[in-house]
Amino acid sequence: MDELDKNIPDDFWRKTFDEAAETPPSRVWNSIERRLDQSNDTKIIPLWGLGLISSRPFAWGMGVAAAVTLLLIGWWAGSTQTAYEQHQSVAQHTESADRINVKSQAPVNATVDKSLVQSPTTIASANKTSLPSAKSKPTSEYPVAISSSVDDQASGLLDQLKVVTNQKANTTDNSIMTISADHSTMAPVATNVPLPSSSASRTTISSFAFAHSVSSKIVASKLNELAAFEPLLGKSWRFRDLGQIHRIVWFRPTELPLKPESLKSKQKTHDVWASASVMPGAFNPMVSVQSAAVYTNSYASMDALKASQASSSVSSRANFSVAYQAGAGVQLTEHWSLESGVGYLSGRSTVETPAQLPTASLVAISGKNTTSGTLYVDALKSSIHTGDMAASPASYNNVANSVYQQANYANSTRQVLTNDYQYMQVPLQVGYQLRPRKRLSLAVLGGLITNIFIRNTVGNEVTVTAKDGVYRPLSLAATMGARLRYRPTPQWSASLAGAYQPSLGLGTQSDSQVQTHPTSTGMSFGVDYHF
Amino acid sequence: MQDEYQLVEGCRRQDRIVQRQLYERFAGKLFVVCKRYIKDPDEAEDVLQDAFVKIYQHIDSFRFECPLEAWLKRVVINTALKSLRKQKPWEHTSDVQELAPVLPQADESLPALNYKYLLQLIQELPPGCRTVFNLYAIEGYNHPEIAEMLDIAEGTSKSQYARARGLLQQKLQSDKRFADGYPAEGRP
Repeated sequence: MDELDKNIPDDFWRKTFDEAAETPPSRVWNSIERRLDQSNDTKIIPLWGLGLISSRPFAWGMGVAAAVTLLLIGWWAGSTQTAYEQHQSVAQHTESADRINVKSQAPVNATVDKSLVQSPTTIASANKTSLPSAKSKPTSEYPVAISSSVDDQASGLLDQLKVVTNQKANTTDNSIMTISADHSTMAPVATNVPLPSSSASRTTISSFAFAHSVSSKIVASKLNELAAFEPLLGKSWRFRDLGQIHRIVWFRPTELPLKPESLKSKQKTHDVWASASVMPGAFNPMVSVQSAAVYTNSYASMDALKASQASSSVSSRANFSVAYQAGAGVQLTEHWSLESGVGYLSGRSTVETPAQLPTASLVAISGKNTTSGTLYVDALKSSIHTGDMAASPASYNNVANSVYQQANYANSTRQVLTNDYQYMQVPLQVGYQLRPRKRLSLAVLGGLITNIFIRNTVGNEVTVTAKDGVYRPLSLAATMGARLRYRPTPQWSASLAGAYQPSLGLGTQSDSQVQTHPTSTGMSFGVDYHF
Repeated sequence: MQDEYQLVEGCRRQDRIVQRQLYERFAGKLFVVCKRYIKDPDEAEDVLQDAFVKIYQHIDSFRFECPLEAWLKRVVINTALKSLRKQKPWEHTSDVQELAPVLPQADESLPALNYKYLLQLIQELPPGCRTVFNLYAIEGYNHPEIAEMLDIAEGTSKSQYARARGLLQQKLQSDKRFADGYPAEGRP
């Protein structure tokens, strides 16, 4: 019974198992990782749905809320990183003066040299490990003067804690260190100052003093590095409230090991990747034909006017499109990335356009004109700048245009034409990683795309190129979307991204009678190689 | 000690690479802890897995008030006890007085044995005895603490410990390999 009641751990068993280790099977870590991935899965709020979710005000509200949330997260991430960097810089600064050991608010186990303590109420200690004391060897090589002045006007507890230390302890060659204390602030200070003059000569001065203020001056060219502890000495203190219980944890985490800046810069190398992707989707040029030209015509009757007004209703529908893209990206910070590349878009669409009335067709035939019989094609043809016509401000006032204006198009007779747009694309977008450093990452993307028009083939009749002056050679479009990336290996990853790319302006020239406002939507599949 | 701070900070950021580093550094020792409490190897793996998931999810609660390894070990022990608590193996036990005549002497004379041999002996103990023995003899908890942890009477804790000691000593003495004081497999 006595053996049991001793409550002493059996050292034999404890020591035996103290360093015992057995590598668990790899499936344990795989299970842990899988569970962590499951617990970290981000819940995706559907942007589509029924009822309230699909309503326009709610969708706008959700969008605004998401944007504000993203901004807040970005601001928080930025500020957190800044604070972390500041912490690192402080730690570095302290560590750089590695021979200076400054401890505050910590008990100091040091030998108390009574020669340094003038008052019994003074809590101060000076420990000299190597240098002899002033009494034993006043003509030492290293003169150090420590002086502390205390204002006698303090009352109460402060009077009991005042520190008067005026000690000329040691002498060093041309080095004088002065530590003075008065009552302006309360500060317990414990400083261990090993002098850097010699490895054998090391003086540690420890003082734990409550006083109103502590100001220190180090007047020595060889002790310039000691100035590193000045900001800590200036820390203001106040008495704890009487009767309140405070818990003091005498634990201090180990300081981060210092690394040279060159190594740090190497560690912060950004993640750079190259990607190739294909994006099937839908492309809708949103074609319309300017009705002004039609209205400028002189109509013989009201029926013809009505017919011409109705004829301006050219509509386009999205059709299958595919975009190929080769790109590159760089991870700027933990969350933010910058991406660019070059791509090729082949966008098909269908245009439903009014056709000419039978009578108009007869007129057109008899007049030997070049009309095709549909409003859309005729408007395209009339907008083409050819030769000197391009210099004319009213360029559509050419022969074809005049015929086009004279023609009558009926809504009841409509014709469907296929369009095949081809663009070169140069995207520039930023990404925000919602799940950084994860095997399965999610990023929100946004940016601009420069669309370089190559050609548009309408049916088998008309091919309009960039030189024809109908379409803008360069047009801008916004791009936004989200990307899911799975990265099974450090080098390779696969991406699945959804993108919505509305144009920011007209895709055609301002004087063109055909106007487009292209919009494409798609889902891209890609592979990425990370360098 | 130097990189414990970095490990913890990395785990707080949910950096998977750092989480893996923490696992590789401590999983070996913690796996032995699991096996001391849980006899079945598969269950021990499950406990280790549950413990590490808890560690990663609650790493924010670690305030460096104790060594990291001690904190991790405590989480593993709590997880193992939670697993054992479903079985309540320590409830159906006799009081310490019934086992008093067979109380063994201290084991200070035992040589430094291979831990695998001792682990095997511990695993052969009944679950209740094994748990109390681990907590008392190896982890260093006292009987009131063990009684509170396992929600049992203090006397039950003492009796379980005494029984465990007795069984262990019997096993050591009856083991032919231990005739000369050193088991063949357990020699260091």
